[in-house]
Amino acid sequence: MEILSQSSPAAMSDESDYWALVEENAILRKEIQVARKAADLTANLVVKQFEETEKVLHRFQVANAQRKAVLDSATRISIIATNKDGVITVFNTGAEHLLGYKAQEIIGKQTPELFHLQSELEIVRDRLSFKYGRQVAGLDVFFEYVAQKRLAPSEWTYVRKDNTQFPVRMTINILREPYGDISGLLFIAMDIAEIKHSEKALKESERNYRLLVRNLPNCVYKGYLDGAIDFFDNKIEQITGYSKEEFLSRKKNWFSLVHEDDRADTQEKFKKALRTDSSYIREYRVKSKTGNTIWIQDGGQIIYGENGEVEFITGAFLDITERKLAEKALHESEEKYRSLFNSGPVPIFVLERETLEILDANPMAEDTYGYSNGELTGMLFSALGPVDDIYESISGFDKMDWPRACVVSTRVRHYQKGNTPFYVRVTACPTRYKDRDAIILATTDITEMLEKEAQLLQASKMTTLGEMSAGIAHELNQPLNAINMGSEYLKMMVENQKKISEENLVEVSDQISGQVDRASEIIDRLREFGHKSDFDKEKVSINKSVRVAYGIINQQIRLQNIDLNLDLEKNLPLILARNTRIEQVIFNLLTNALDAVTQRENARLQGAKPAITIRSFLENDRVTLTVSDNGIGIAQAVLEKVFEPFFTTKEVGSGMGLGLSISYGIVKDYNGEIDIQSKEGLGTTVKMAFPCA
Amino acid sequence: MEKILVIDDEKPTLSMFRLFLEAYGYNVYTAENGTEGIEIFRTEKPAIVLTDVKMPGIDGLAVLQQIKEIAPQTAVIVITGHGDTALAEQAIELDAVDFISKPIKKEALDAALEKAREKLG
Repeated sequence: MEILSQSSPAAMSDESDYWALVEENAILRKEIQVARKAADLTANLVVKQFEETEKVLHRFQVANAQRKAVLDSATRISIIATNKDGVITVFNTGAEHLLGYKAQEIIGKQTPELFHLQSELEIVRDRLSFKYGRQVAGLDVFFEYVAQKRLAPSEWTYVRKDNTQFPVRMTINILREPYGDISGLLFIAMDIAEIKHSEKALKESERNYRLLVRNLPNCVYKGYLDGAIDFFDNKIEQITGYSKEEFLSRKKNWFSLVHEDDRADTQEKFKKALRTDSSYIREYRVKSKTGNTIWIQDGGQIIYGENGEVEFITGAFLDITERKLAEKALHESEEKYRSLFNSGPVPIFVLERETLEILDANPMAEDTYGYSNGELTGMLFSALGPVDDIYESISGFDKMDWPRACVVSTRVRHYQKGNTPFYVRVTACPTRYKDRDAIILATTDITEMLEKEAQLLQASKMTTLGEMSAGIAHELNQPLNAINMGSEYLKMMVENQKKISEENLVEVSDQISGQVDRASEIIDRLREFGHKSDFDKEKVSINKSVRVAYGIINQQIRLQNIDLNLDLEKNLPLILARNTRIEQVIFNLLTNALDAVTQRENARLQGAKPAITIRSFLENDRVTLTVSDNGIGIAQAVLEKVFEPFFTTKEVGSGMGLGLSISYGIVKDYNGEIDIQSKEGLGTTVKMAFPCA
Repeated sequence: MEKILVIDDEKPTLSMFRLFLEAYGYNVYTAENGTEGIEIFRTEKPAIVLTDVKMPGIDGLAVLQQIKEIAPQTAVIVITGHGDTALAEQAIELDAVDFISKPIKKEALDAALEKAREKLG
C-alpha cells in the first residue's frame, strides 16, 4: 500500500503525449489492475488480520485465564508484577496467602519494596552503588540486581503484613514490551521456610551421621557384588591391618579375607537378604594382615538401582573378637560347670534364695533322694530336710567374700522319697542362676561315715569300760557279797534248824532286795553308757551328764583315796547335744584325771591330797564345764598333741590314744570348744564350752 | 563270848557279817573305816579281826600292820575284792592268818575262822 501511494503522483507529472498517454493509460490500467489486486490483497489481509486478531484475542483470553489460574493456583508461590514505575499490577493468591495482604490493597498502590527487609535491600544497594560508583536507589536496585544476577534465583527475606518474616527463593525478571521496552518487573518467590528447616535438619543429621561414623567402633563400608569394598575411614586398618586404600584400589577383595569355613554361611545370609528385606546381620571370621583371626559382625543393607539391579551394599563391620572370645570362654565355663554339675559325685541343688524352691538338681540328687528331676524341680527344699540352718547361713552370705562356700551343717537328717532318713553334710554358696539370686547347695551322704565314727566311738567306749572293768567288778562285788552272805546265812540257819528271829529275817530280805537294786543300778549305768547313741541332737543338761559319769567312776576314785569334788551351778541352760556322747567326754576326762593323780601318787610326789574337781558354770553365755586335777600334769611339748588321734602317753596296751581326740570331735560336733591347760607336776584343767540350746 | 571285829566300808556287808557271826556265837563289833576299827580294837581288844583291804582312808593293809604292832597275837583275816590277789599275798606276808574273797562263801569264812582259832590255840 505504501508503494502505490508513493509512485502514482510521480508517474502522472512526468508523461504528456499520446503514446505517453496510451502508455500512461496502459500503465494506469496496469496500476489499476495492480491496485485492484492490491486492494483485494489488502482486503484479504485485513480480513485475515482481523481474523488473526480475533484468534489472538481469543488465545489471549484463554492464556489470560490460564495465567490467572496458574497465578491463583500457585498458593505457595507469590507472583508479583509491576509496571515500569514499580507500581504493582499483579498480586496473585499465593502472594496474598504468603504475605497476608489482599490484592486490592496492593495493586496500583504499592511497590514491591513493601515486602522486603530494608537491611537486605540496603546491602544490595550499597554493593551496587559501590560497583557503579553512583547512587543506585529505588527500583533501580531491582533492575540492576537482575542485570547482575542474570535471572538466577536467590534467597531473600519477605516481611508479612504482620511483620513476621520468612525466607523465599526468588526469581526477578524484567518485563518487556514486544519491541523490547521495559514495562515492569516480575517477582516470583517461593516460601522456603520448610525447605530451610528440612535442609537444616538434613545438615544436622548429616553431621550427626558423620560423627557417628567417626566415633562408632563400627567401620562403615560400601560394598559391591564382586567383593570390592570402599571404606570411609581408616578404622578398617585397625581391625584388619589393611588400609582403606588397599581396598579402594581393588587390590584387596573382602571375600578373600573371610574364613573359608564361614564363606558358605555368609553367602547364604546374603542370598536370604536378597529374597527377603534386603538386610542382613552376619558374624564371621576374617584373617587379618598379620594372620590373626578376627570375628566381625557385619550388618548390611542391599541398595538397588532404578532397574532393580543390585547397585551396592551399605553396611558396617564391628570387631567382635573379644566378645566372641568371652562368649567362647563363657560357653566353655558353662559347659565345664554343667558337666561338673551333671557328673558331680554328690547331690547338687540350685535353690531360689528366698523360698528355697529347687530350681535345678543334678542326676546324683535324683539318685540319692529317689526323685526324678521333674519331681525335684519346683519342690521346696524343706521337703528333703531341715532348712533353718540354710536360712541362717544365707544371712551370712552378704558379709562373706563371694563366692566362698560355707558349710551349713555337718550332720543333718535328710529324707529320701518314701521318708527314708539318711545323714548328710550340707554345703552352700550364693550364686546367680538365670538372673535370680540363688544358692548352690551340695549334700554329702555321711551316713556311712557317721556309722564308722559311731563304731569307733563305741570301740573307744568299750575300751574305756574295759579299763574300768576291775573297778566296776569291785563295785559290783559289794552288793553281790551282801546278797550272797544273806542267802548263805538263811541256808545255814535252816540247815542247822535254828530259829531266825523276825527282826533278822526282815534285815536279810531288805538287804537282799536293796543290794539287788544296787547291782541293777550299776548294770543300768553301764548299759546306758555302753549304749550306741543316735546322731540327732537333743536338749542335754550337762550337770546330769556329769552325775552319770560320776556314778560310774565314783566308787573307784573314792577307794583310791582321791577327792572328787562336784561344783555344779544350778539352773544351767540346756545345750544341744547327745547326752550319751557328753557323758562319754566327761568320763574320758575323768579317767584321764584319775590316771594323772594316780601316777602322781605312784611317783610319790609331795603335795596336796589327790583331788579331781568338776565345775559347771555359765561363761560368756556358754555352758562351760571344767575337769581339773592336781596330777602329774602334761609337758608343754606333749600338750600340743593331746587332741591328735592315737596319741597316748600311757603304756602300750593300756589305751588306744583316742580318748581326747574323740572328745574333741564330739565337742566340735555340738559347736563347742575344748581347751586344755596344764603345768607339769601341778595338774591339768580341761575346759569345754557349748552354746545354749 | 569271844570278841570279833569286822572293818568294812560296806554297810550291807557289815550287817550280814553281824548276823552270821552272832549266829556262830561271837560278840560282834563293826567299823566302817580303818580309823574307827583301830579305835575299837584298842578299847575292845578282840582276838579276831576281819578287815577289808580296799577302803577309803586307812586301807586294810595299814590296819593289819597297826593291829600287829598293838597286839601281834591277834588273828587278822583280810577280805579282798575281785582280783586283789596281789594284796592278799602282801597280807599273808604281813602275818594275816587267811584271806577271803568277796562274794564270801560260808565255807571260806568257816575255814578262815577255823585257821584263826587254830592260831589262837
